[in-house]
Amino acid sequence: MATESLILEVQNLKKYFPMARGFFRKTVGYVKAVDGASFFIREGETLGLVGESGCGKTTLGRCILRLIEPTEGEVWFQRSNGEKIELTKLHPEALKNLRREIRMIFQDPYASLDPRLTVMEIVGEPMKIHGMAKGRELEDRVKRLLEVVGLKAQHMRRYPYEFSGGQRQRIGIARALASDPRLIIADEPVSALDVSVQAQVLNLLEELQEELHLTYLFISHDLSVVQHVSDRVAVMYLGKIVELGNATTVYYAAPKHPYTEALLSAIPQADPQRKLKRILLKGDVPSPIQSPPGCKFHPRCRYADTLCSQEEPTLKDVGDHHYVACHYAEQLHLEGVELYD
Amino acid sequence: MTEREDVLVQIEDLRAYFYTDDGIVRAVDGVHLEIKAGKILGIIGETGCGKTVLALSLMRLIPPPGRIIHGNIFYYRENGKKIDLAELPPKGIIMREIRGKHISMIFQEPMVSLNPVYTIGEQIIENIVTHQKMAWKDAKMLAIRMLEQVGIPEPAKRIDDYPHQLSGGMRQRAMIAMALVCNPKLLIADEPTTALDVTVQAQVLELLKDLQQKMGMAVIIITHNLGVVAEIADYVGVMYLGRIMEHTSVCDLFSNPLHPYTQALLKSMPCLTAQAGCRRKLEIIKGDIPDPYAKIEGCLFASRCSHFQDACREDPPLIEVESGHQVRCWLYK
Repeated sequence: MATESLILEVQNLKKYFPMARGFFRKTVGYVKAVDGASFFIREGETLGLVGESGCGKTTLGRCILRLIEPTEGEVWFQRSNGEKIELTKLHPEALKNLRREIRMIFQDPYASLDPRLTVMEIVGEPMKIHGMAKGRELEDRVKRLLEVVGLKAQHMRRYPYEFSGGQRQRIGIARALASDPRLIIADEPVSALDVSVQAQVLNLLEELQEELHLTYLFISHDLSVVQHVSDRVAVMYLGKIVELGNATTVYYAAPKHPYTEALLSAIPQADPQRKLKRILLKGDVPSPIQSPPGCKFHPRCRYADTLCSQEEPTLKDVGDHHYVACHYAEQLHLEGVELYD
Repeated sequence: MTEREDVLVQIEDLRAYFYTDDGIVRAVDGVHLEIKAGKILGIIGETGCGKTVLALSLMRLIPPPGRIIHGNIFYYRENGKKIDLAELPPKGIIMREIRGKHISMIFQEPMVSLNPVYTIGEQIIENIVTHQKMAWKDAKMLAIRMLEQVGIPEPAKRIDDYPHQLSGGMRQRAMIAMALVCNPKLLIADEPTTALDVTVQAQVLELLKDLQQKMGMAVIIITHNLGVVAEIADYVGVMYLGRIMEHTSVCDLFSNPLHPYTQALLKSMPCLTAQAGCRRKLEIIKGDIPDPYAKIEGCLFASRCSHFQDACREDPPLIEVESGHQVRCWLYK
């Protein structure tokens, strides 16, 4: 297993946003959006990152590309020639170069496309910036990209407002593909879309992965979508990864973290006959400004005891590359989603 | 008349159009629907299919340039009389009595639909005082009891909170309290859990179901999430471009969907309970939802349907396939 190539390795990544108060804008505290997240992505796989709103998934995704500067931690990326580089301390010029290989797809296809640029300019921009093509060649490449994502070449001269949500998301995907990336961070790429359009975009992403050997970090709050696309899943709670493992294991066979169990039982299932043993979590997600001591999940956890409120569990391997941050991971017998055939 | 007894609202050929500068948007275009007392009706459909406008027409709250141009909404009152809501003046005295007291609504985004400059208590009490002859003090007691019922901790304290002081889930609970405080006969919930996280969504759905049973009211739940419908609804209407395409019990909808649109919708959804590991390719509905300004001749779904035939150039009626299962499709003629 040691020989397999990890395209991305994140170690103890932290992002604290300072909160300023008063006339002198004194820092009075920190919003701990990402608070020591560690995980890795293997080349060619899809890692799904799930969590509720405010748990820091988006911040984590952006910290990797340094669209937000992380406070602490390391991000190791393996380039196509096998060389490993650390992103958080990279010089801006080198970073720009690297952003050719890591690209992002954003959530809101309405807000993430410049309304004053044509599709040609939007999709062509990354190639121009990285000096990959110009003139006729650029135009040809844009045409090809549009066809790859299921749009037509004549759409090139149009503006974003002329497209529907699903089509805009395709433009966003074409833009992400423009610089021949190897890793794509997709931040809620289908959340703003309707079910039928969502299916189109999910299928497209899957096809592209096969054709272009892409690696995805797929960030979403929708557990069914994540299950559908992911090889492995990372569950995030209050800025930390609490469980990381094979998607099938985490969802069905054996979730090991009580939060994962509760999350899975809360998914509304499209099957009226099914009677769920639902675990209702008490209360809301605590504020990331004053997170509880010990295990961050303990105030809402039904298995918690005194140890949980005192000591914070670390992410440890419980076998077969299944990582869990819970003191009782090995003792608890938790239930995943029940399977029907 | 025995059949009539459990019908609370009957909608007949309702049409609500928006007359914009760019053309006419037929948001609701010929909806027939029966709302049964004490049952939960799910309305499901994609963005822009007119589900919200349908709800707003029941409340007579359609914003201009939209208006109801055709059809009846019969509301059966307790004394056995029926009134046509579609004909009442929206700002008239009867409509104002019905709105909030007989039919009330909760909206998708609780932060937008609560007034930020009043405490949630004031907003709930206002509702009580408007509809019932009650002193402010008593109304406050009632409001506190209601907040307790919807599961807000320390209701006597939280009643003086402003909406921004509550979390999303708590705000939605406060909205529910406000909507239910006058014991309405019908509650319309427009995407009540869309803005919420899964775990909070589960809490709110459970609460709605629980209160519905306790208070015996009818509920219309509008959503685009098939999972939510499966969890909570008794019967379902599938809406597409302003029309009900299929109308049936919730079990039938999932076990025996008849309309090609419903079938496609079910297949396009990632499903957790499918065999593990096997990555089933999602089936897609080709094309996009047609332009809302266009007037479509024939079946509305024809342009995206995989069962297209010549008959589809004509508009199919709502066909009753079996008792309680109606489909708007020529395949079942």
